[in-house]
Amino acid sequence: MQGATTRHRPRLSISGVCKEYGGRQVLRGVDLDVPAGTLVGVVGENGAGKSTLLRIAVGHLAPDRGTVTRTGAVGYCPQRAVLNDAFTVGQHLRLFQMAYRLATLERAGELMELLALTGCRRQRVGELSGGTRQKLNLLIALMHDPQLLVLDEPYQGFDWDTHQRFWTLAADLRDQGRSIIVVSHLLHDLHHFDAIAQLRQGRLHFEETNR
Amino acid sequence: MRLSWTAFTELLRCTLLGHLRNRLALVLAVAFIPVWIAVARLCTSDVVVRVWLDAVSAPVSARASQVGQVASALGAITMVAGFITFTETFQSRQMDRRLLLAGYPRLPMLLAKLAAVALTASLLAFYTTILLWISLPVRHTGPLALALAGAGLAYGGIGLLLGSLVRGELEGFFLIIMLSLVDTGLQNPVFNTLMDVTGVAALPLYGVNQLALSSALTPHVPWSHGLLSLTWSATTAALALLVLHTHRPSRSPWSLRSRFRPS
Repeated sequence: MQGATTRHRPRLSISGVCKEYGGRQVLRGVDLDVPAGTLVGVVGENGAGKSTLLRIAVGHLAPDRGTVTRTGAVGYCPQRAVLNDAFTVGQHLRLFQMAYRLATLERAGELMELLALTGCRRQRVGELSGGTRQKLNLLIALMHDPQLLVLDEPYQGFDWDTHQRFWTLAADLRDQGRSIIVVSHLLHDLHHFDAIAQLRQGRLHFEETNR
Repeated sequence: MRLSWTAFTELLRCTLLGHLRNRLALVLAVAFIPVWIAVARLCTSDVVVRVWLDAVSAPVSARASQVGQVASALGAITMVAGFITFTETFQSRQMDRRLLLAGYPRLPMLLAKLAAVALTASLLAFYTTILLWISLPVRHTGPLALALAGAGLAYGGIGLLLGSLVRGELEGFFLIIMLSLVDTGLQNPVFNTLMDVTGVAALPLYGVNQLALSSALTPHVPWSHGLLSLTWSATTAALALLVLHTHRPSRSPWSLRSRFRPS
């Protein structure tokens, strides 16, 4: 991250990224480096372009200008749960196991326990509550133990215990050397971050934290 | 190779099980088809009508209710196949994109979608043929079943195409229902006895309609018209695959290709 630690080569490097939607310039030359072992928060008002920035970061969306460089596997948790309502939780895990080429679902099983999802394997996703769908949405982003995690408000609808467990998990992953970006709106979450990048008028403004 | 096969079978299995969990689709398939055939049987007169069939190049005499039942069966199967395929494609497109970005093999995914359409159309055709066989004195059951399967395939392909293209669910349903109504309305010899509306031969159901009516009501089996319907099915399926291919990401930015061993 710019202005933060530079001990490792960044896992994600965004340079001079611009994006325009319908004549409105959403991103105006955004720069962001996220090194290994860093937990970065991206904050900003509604419609500031946080989700657009994250979608560009993971390759879902092409920037109008600028470059994005990623190294290693990426786990992306979109803001709105992207799941198939007709499939069960177990079917989702099996399909993403093939997509990620995972030998086993051991890690997914651990995460299911951590997120209190174990009893849902046979349930159809369309029958799950909003919070439980979001847990599965997050689990899919984490189940292949990626080096870079890009999480867009991943805890929407979580109960307080799961919310706390999410932050413990994020801190553990950061300590294991993973690079994590989280979009957050919640003031009481800001102390979890190593650095905070505020998106204002299409540009990122960095703030150091007390961590 | 093993991964491709597993990816194909797993997605096909999930898609077919998803169809079985779609209660509205099940009710439509089980109840709408027989009800629509029964409506044609009860509400159309038993008067013998002479209808022109291009497939046998001659007028054919048959009871209006019998002609109506075959036409209704075709209409019902197109709507049900189109609805099931459109719903599945529309609801799964975001997730399919996520799977592809995560590294899911593209070709097995596309083939699984086509195979699901083909199996659904075949099953619907089998069921509808039994219903017509009970209700009518069908002359050639096999070709009639093939014609019905062709109708299901053509509208299944249209469902795939619209499911990938339209923005709203309602737009897709409306387009499928309107296309099916126009198509079956113009092909129905009770309404259009001379089949002389310009361009009727270009509609998706022209070939299967000729094959179905000839197989059910005459001693002739015009296979060439069956092939015409296969051309329609192949074209819509190819277009749908092209759209599915171009609308979904081309490569995975975060796959871990070396670590997979199927469990």
